[in-house]
Amino acid sequence: MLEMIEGELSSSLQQRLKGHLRSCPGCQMEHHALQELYHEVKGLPMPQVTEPLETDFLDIIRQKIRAEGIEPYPYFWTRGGRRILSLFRRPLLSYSFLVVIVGMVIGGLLFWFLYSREGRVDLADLSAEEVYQAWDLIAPSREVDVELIALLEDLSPEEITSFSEELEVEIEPDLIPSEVPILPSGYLNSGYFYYDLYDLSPEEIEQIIQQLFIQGTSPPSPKKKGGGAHLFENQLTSL
Amino acid sequence: MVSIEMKKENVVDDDLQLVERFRRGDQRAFDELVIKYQSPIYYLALRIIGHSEEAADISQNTFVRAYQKLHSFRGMASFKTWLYRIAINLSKNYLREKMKKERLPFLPEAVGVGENKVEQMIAKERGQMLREALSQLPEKQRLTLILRIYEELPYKEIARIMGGTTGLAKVNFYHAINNLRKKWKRLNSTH
Repeated sequence: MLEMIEGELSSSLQQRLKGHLRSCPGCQMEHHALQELYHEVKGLPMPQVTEPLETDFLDIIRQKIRAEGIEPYPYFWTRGGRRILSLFRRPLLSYSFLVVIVGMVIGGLLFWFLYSREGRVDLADLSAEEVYQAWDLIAPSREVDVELIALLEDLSPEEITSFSEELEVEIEPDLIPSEVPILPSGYLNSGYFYYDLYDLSPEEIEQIIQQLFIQGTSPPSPKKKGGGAHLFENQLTSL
Repeated sequence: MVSIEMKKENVVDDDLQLVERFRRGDQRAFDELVIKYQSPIYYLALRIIGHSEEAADISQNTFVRAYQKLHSFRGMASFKTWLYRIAINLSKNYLREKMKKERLPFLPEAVGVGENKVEQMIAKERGQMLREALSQLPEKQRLTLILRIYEELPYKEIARIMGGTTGLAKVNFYHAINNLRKKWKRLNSTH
């Protein structure tokens, strides 16, 4: 009956109920009383408003928010953190994550252990003998050229130009100015082995220039005497 | 029918868009939500509590709470349902606190205009009696009745606001009406 009063009954059911009500005075009375009550409750006026809704309703809310020092929402990382943490309440996911993390750590350690030795070796730490051995291992059947990379931070562009002219070497133009490679003429981009003069003082660089000048600029190779190779050997031992 | 459903969906979409804008830091989106829902929330609180000042206070607190908790709104229900739930909970808390201290007096209802004085008095008397009968209903039944009759919400939404199933909301409403009938009869016979 209540559904009929609310108008939520399907039309067929409504027709059937109406038919029944016509033939049943008891139900008719019940329906009438219920209908009356429903409409009386629905028509009940709103409690008297002593004060209408404030026009500054929004301002009052803002003031309350400010007064309570409420943040509109937590910072992104807090929100993200909460969501991520909530995921780990599921045991399967947390165990899987743990396995992945442990696997990554072990894998990382293995990788580091196996491949870290293939990193760059500072030639300054090696003796000339060790360099020759390494050379044989890297390219035993090839005549490998030596290229020199000098870090000439303290030299002006004019000095670098003069430097290259004196040595008859080429300066690779694409590199950053502080790391100018000094290459014997004709050997640009042909070598594999770079000798980093990063730690050399200007005096030492001057010494190199002198030695190169004295020895000439024949194609350097650790297997040849003279030229850059000689310098190379001398430098290693002097360092 | 189709157009009404489309309209409802649009309203929900609009609210969700505003919520999303607010979450991205747009404060004006929250202002828009307040402007949109301030009256419905205020009148809901007024129906439940019966005091305009307290109703205003509760409706304001509803929005303050919404501001604070909007990040946790997951959009499972509509924003309106979520907001109603906050308002209902705050109203319930208020009533419980108030009941501990004193029994709520009934406010005089708004007086109709242009009616006969005797009719006005009779209507007023009946209204007061009905309010009294309503106030005697168990809390869940009373709130369900308010949401159903005055807010005209479907049972599904009432269930979301009040907690529980759609069937339970329906049962609460039927019980509310039946209990009200009994109390109404009793009050009528005593007066």
